[in-house]
Amino acid sequence: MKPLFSLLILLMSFMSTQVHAHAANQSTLLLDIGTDSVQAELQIPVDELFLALPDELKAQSLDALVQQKAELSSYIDAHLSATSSENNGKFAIKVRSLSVGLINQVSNLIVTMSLTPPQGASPRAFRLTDNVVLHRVVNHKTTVTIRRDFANAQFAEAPQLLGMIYYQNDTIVINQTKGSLWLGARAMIRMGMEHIADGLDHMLFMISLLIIAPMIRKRNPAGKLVWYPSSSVKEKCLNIIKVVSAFTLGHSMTLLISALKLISIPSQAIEVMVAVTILLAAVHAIRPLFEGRDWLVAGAFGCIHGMAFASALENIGFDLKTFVVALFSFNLGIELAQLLIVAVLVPWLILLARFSKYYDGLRVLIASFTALAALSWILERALGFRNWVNPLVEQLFSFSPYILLSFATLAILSVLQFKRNHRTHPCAKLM
Amino acid sequence: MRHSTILSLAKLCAPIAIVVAVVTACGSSGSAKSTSSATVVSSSVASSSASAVSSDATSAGVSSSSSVSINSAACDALTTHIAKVVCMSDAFKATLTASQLTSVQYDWSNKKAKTTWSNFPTSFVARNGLRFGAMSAESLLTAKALVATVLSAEGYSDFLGTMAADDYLKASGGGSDYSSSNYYIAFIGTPVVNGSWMIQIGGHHMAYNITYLSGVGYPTPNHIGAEPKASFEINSATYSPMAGEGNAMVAMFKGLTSSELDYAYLSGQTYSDVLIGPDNGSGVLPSAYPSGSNRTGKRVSDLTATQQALVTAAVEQWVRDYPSAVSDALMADYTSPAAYADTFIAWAGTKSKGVDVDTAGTYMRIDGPRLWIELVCQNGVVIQGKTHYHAFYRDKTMDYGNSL
Repeated sequence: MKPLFSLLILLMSFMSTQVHAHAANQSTLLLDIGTDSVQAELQIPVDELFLALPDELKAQSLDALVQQKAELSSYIDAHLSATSSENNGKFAIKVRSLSVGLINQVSNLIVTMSLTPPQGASPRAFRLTDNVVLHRVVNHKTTVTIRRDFANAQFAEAPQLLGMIYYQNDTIVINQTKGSLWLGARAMIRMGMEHIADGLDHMLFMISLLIIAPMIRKRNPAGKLVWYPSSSVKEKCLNIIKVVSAFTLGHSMTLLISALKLISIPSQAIEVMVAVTILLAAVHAIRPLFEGRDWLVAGAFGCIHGMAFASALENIGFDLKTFVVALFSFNLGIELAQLLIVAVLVPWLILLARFSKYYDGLRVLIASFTALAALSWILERALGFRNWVNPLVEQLFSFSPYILLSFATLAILSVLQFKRNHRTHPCAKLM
Repeated sequence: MRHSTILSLAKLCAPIAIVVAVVTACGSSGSAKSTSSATVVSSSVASSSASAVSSDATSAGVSSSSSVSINSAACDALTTHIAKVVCMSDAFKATLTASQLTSVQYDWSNKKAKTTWSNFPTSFVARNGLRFGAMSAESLLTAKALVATVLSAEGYSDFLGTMAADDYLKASGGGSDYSSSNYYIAFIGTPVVNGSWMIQIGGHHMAYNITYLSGVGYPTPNHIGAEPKASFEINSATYSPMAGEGNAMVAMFKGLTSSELDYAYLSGQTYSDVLIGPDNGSGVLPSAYPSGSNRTGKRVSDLTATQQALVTAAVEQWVRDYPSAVSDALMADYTSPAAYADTFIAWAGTKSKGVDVDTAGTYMRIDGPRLWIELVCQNGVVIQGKTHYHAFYRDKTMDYGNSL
């Protein structure tokens, strides 16, 4: 869904009437504060850069210029410096890469650098002096932002504006000493929980798994596999635990592998596969597709979902220690959210399955709805065919508290009805 | 028995509740689309033969919608400039609908609104207030009459020329972002004779920000720009809104000797834009004025009387865009001998080309103790291959009447 959207937006922006040369002649400096160093990205509008470069560099074409890494690096180096606020020692600045990219429709030179503090000093408190371009183009302005700082729960989605660098004001003080690993971890846990809460597709998938949890498979007289209510609470609970654990293990594994970028599958393909797993789970909930080894299938599906989760962590580019904490916390958040869903839904499902004659109908209704949603997602994600089903699903989910309430109500009423019907049978056992 | 009936009823209701939920979801998702915000349009002409003015006004006010003329006799009859401005403001407001009145009026304490103005097209940076294109014919006429009262004749001609330039750009393939109807008017604080308030008139290449403090007017920050900068014709009229400004600045430098011109050159500095542009809603005065040893250029008091007259003529191009009630005091302060002893003229650009407005990057400024004027020549945006002007006039101590 996401890559398609961003492609659409990119296309639309190219189709707008005029690329205004009016626009953005400002540079942007993005800082990622790590545990041992600061990673910086400087985005310089090419037009402004060419006004400021020394003559020998100015004469080049942009493509040729980008190849001159050594010369450009020394130009940047000459106009950028960082001094530790702790011991006034100088940071070592190393240009890592140079590239050209479009930012807000304007061609920019993108310079990535690492800034390493002097021995014994922290990378979290320093004075930065930047007169790249400004040394010559006196009206030039640079926006300085903190893009990532795990210890202050600062993530790339919303860079924090620190200040401006401009004429006669080329130094900015960075002080990120407040903050701790726990602050970041807490934010990542919340992010993991929100990821599930906002993920309608994942929710429907979970619901499809859960509605068959209180059931077992049997072959009917015609030889077809069908669902029957299971009478063993222990078996039901064990089933749920096995399935959820296998799913968790699966997605944790692939989340780790994907986040480490050890595998790389186009996100569109992943999104389509996720929708396919939902479709399969939904159909399976209507009429079993296979017998036995539920946990294996749940684990396999988990693997696919884990890759989709990893897309939320794409921008978390921290150093290893922070990365591990971030990944662990995010996964923890996912698990907590899933546990919450299970805790909130399963009791009612078990009661309904046991006491309500509507359970089968309900199961088929929910599973059909899920299957329909999954189909529309497949169409949308694979073919870009947007339809009316997705908004409907989203609308329905805004009613989820009410739906849950009616589930609960129905469950309670079923229990009461059942008790009433069986009051005259003293031998009848409940549960 | 009664209980079981209720129970079975309830059991029936629960699934129905779910179905109802689904159906309502279907229904409301159909109407979930909302139209994007449309511009305020009211074709209803405001009433009024009454003008909401002081009692000594004779019945004047606005004529009916069929004939588009306005009677400003009542306001003209007032003796002070501020009274006229307030009268015309009220006459304009009287033509507006209730919702238009709300959108045109901001609170005096709103610093963000005061500092929101720009040189960019309004599709890039939103302006405060009511758009000309959203006004009725009557309101637009009254608005223009108000502007004609707020500005001098030269100023009003620049105002018309800047809007005409936008129509010219649109006709030259610039797209619908450009248009004389994309200009805005706003009041910050209520227009009163003996109080504090501000009027903003602006759009692409235009920003008039005039603050009135007990009747004294402070017309900065002010921006005017021109693309094309040469004269152009649109709708059977010819305009050249910044010809005067550009020519006067060039003349000021051309009047220098070659060594003086050399001395006034800002060596090592390139200008792709002015140093102190729009405040972008910051709510504070800018602080990037050159200070100390950075204040370079040719000191005006070191020039001959003829050369100084050229400086004064350039200053007038901006300051005399406002009526003498506003500009006399300012001119006196900006061009006094004391001021000129602390005023520098400087230029930048391609040194070999000199002060050539057809070369991009040519930059000129007047830097006084209060007065600050910058004019830069930038590449054309719509009209390729020709430079265009951006100019800003500010007052280091009295921008926004120093009331931020």
